[in-house]
Amino acid sequence: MTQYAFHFSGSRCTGCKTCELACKDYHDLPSDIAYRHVYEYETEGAWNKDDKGCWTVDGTSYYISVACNHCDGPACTKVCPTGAMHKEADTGIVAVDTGKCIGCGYCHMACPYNAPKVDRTKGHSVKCDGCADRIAEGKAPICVEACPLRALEFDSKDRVRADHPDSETADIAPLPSKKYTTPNLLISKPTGAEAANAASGKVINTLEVK
Amino acid sequence: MEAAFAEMPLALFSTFAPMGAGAFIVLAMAFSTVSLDEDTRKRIDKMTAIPVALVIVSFIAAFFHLASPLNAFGVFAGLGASPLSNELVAGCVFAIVMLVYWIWALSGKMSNSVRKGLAWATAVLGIVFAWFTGMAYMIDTIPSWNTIAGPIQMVGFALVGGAAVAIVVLALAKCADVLKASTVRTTVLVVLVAGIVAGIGGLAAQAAATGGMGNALVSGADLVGSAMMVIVCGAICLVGTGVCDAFAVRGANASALVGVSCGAAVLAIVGILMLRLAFYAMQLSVGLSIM
Amino acid sequence: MIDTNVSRRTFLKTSGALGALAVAGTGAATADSLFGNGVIAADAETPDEVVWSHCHVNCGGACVLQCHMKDGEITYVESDNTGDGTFGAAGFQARACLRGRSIRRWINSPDRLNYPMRRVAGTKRGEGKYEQISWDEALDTIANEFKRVKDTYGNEAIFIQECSGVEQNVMMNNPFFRLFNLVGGEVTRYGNYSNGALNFGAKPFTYGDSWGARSFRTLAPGELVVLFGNAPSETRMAGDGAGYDLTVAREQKGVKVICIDPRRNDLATNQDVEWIPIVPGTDAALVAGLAHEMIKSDLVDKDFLHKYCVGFDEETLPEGAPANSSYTAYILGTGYDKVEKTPAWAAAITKIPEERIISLAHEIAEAKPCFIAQGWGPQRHTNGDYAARAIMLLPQLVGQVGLPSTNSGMREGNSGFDLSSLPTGDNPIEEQFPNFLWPEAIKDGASMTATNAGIKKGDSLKQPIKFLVNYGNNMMSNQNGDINATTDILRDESLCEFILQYDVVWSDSCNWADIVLPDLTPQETWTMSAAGENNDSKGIWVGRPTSEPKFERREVYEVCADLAKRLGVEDAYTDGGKTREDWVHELYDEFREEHPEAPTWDEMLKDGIYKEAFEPDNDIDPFIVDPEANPLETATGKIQIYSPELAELAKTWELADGDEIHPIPVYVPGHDGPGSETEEYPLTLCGYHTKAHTHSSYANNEIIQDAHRHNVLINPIDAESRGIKNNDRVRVASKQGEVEIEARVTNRVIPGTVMIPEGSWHVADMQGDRVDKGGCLNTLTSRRANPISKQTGQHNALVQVKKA
Repeated sequence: MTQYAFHFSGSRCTGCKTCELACKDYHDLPSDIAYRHVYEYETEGAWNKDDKGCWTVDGTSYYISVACNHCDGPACTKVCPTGAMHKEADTGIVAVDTGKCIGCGYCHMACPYNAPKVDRTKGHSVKCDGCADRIAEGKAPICVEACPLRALEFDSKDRVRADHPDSETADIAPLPSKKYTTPNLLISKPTGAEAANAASGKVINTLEVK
Repeated sequence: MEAAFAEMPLALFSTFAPMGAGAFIVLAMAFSTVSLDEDTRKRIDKMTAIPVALVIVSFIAAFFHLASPLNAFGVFAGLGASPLSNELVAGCVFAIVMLVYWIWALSGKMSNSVRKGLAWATAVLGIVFAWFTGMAYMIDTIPSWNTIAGPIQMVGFALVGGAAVAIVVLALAKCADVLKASTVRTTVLVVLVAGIVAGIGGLAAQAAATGGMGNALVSGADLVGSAMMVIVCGAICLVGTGVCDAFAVRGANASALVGVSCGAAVLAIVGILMLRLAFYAMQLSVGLSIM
Repeated sequence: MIDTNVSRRTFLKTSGALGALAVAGTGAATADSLFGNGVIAADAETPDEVVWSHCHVNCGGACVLQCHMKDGEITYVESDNTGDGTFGAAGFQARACLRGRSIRRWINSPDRLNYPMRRVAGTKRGEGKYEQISWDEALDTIANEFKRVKDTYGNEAIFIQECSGVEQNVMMNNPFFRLFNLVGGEVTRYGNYSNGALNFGAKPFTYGDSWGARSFRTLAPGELVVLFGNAPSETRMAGDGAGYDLTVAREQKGVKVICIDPRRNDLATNQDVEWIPIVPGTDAALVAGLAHEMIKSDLVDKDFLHKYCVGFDEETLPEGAPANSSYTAYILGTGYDKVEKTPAWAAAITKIPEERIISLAHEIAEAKPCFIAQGWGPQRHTNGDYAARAIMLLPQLVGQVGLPSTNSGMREGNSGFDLSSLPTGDNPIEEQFPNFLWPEAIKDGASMTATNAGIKKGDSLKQPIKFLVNYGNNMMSNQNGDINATTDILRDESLCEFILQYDVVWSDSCNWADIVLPDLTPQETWTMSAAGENNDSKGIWVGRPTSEPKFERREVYEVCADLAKRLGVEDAYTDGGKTREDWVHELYDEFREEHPEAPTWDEMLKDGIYKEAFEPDNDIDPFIVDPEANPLETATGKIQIYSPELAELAKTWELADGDEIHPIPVYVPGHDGPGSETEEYPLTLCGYHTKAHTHSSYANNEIIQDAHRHNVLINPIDAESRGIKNNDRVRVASKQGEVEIEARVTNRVIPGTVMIPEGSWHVADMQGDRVDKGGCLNTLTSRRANPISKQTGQHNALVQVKKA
């Protein structure tokens, strides 16, 4: 099997959400369903006022763009009662067999990356499939091709690793520790990134990432 | 807390199912330890429609929670791997045994020994079902749910809610004397107390643990805080169920029994439903999952 | 329909890793075998038709859109995927941002205008009651009103507003100018809301004309870049934008970037970029503090200042300037105000710690080269003329302008193809008024003069505006300072007697018009643009209509032709019958005469775009090489730290209370500026540009607004004292008005300042409480113009915030 993986260049991303909106356009998603989310994470930081009333601030903010990470040990497939949520044998892409899915929402509950959603009008779970149709045409996923900053890539994991020797399996806040699902998301870290298990801050755009 | 209301169908399922399932403990005890005449048994069998209906209603609620209910038969594929499959298999086995028992009993062609055996089998399977319902939420990416306190709560709800339903069944079946029988009365009291302790205790233990958790989106303390009023009200309702039903089996005369037992059952429904909603409100992912 | 997508079979031949994945299967079964039966494979056997178009609003970019069509509808868009798209590659890809990517939803928006509408007789402007009329009736009304106003007041009472919603293409609102210029002309404006103070209050007095600006692509390895109120990651978002250029330079050349901004803008988030929080409107004070340290520590480039500049010190003051009027005198406390501008003085105003001001002065002075640029935020305050000039002064102090890899202290530069737009003919009316003052030109036009209101090319306006054309803008009740005051002027029908609004969507401004006309979107008609006007890229995009017009929507050129017929100038207007398509074709051919290497028109119809890779100019400037032979276009021919023109204006102009004109870039707080907070309005409000819309364009496209929610940024310190939590609904009130909006409690804004993005649509009961539930910034801003440029100083106001 050739496992596919996303690469996210943390220091290029500007949080513009073109990836998310291009995905919504291509996959014709409504406002309340996104296959890719951009989280705005603010580390713990205090404003310090000196004796003259001047300000300095500790901490920083960074964005992180996350879709399905097509994990090695997906939480979604583990809880799926029907086997509809599965890993493709050839590519390791996590996909929904819509003929089997009952739309129980367990994959949505279990996934710590907020990837699968239940689309009640379609009657099944929906999620990033790595733009399987575009990949089959030799194109990149729409989010990758859309990114104005070229901060996203999707390719075989080996290739992604080779292209980005500084990247590591995603293990930074606000993402969960990689130990839960071993995500196939390689990240070149943004400035000020906090380790997933040492997160001090908060996602502040909570209403934008549902 | 508002987000938990989106899970109302599941909350209804996990309220009604254990209440119906748990009712068979007291009934089985009554059949095993009190000698009942045929008319009484018939009246009880007729009123057993109540727990059966609760279970059926709960299954319907769960069914409509699904986006594609027509594919539901596929759930057995995940047996052993998916905790949801395990729950539903346990639920189906319980429901089938329950229906076999009930229909057979209604037919009037059931021997006493078979009745005892099937009633106990239903009761035990009901508790197993409740346990697996709790287990279904033990997902390792949701640490606030991934605790044995979950299944303990569900068994607790089955015990206290089931006892309340069983007392309604016996009251409506005009079996005040059966309830006064020492074995039944003792069973009812033990089951009520155990259920209240397990239900409230399980949820309290879970809330206490959740309060110390957090992810980048929410803090567990905030989740627990917003659910606190609901938890307290739910717990009061459950204690109220216990008090009413203790009165029902100890002091109430036959005329008051129906009213008191029905009131206790309503308190149980409201209390368990609130605690279930509180449970859903305390969903806290290790990562970025949003209810 | 110009192009059809190649079939999947063709793509299967593609090499590369992804192509290799594709050829793992065979033929049509590939997608299924790879991704399971449950995955709906693209229906590759029915190829999409692709129509090339582009997104052109007023963001400074213009991005390629490949519209994939099925049954006359756009199914999805791709952007520029031609050439090498890898990070930092030579050449460029004009990749659309989220706004262009969401164009389909905007085109199909429920807010689209479908029919000509007329305000119901007997209702007032602002009530919003309209009825459908025929095109003939609408055009007859417009033509008759035009003739009536022209006959009664003259063409001086006719005005065509700016067209931000359809910027950057060859058509814009030129059809109206072309038409009106054939029948006597119209009064015009100068300046704009973007950079009016910079271009009319700072640049002419400092450099004379645009000078010294370079693109981020010219940055040298390891160079220091200092940005004031400049957020290219947000305002220049395209794949060929300055945000991208700077990110490439930072990663590949290791440039060091410092952002001086009241807000941690998106350049200073993920990237290793330092943010120095500053109180908005205090940039000139910071520069003064830096200058003090540079002068005291002998860090200024005296040779540069003496050779190329006037007014740095007493020695280089121009003739006629009084003693102690130099910048050095101002800094050292011997100037007009006798206050020494120490770093401690600057710290108290800017709230930047004194030590950081001192260290920053050394950092900037030691950096060679050093690239200093400002965005258009600092000049959008009532003291913006000075802020802009002060920031321009900084590179002069250290001799870092005119040299390779340096900048003017104005916005970073760019270059691109020149493309002519639809010719508009000659306007016989000369007078121009400052763009920002159009409501005043309606109210008191006849009393606006050169010395009290900055009227140019004439001593005064001849008439107030009586006939107002709004094409492709949302100016009346959204994009102009102080909506409540502006609409009070518009409501009075005895002032402006006829208002036309012509747009693609029913914006709030439509509610103030007498006639509303339905336009086609740029994607639904013929269009052509050069690559983004503020991007450092050379390209030409030709857009063909994606579909036939729906309902009764009509594009502007043809509509003006129908008006021309009614005004008796049709033949002259259409130049003998040319259509919009003919003009686009003709203007392209004109471009091609200058660029014979460009594809033919027919080739352009097929390929949609033409791009040319180039290296930006980075040569030493001729003025620096020989200032005597190549003087600047200023009064002195040099860089003017002291402007004799401003000294003259200070003597002759009539100024509003509190306004001051100084020949040097001093710090003045400005109207409602820093230090004028009150108990009632203790916070400073500052606007900024969001990614969710370009000004008010696309602000009704909900799918983007849900991804980037409209909110007021408030520091946790200010939020806590008001009991405000993240995501709470709050009320923000200024002297001018009140909005209801969501709160974003964040460390990304300096304490004491709250920030609201401009452009959100105004939603208020204007017959009732006027509380704006849309949270439009201009409900809160003022009508106060800058003293010199008379342009928009509105992006500050004093406010209070409380929980809704």
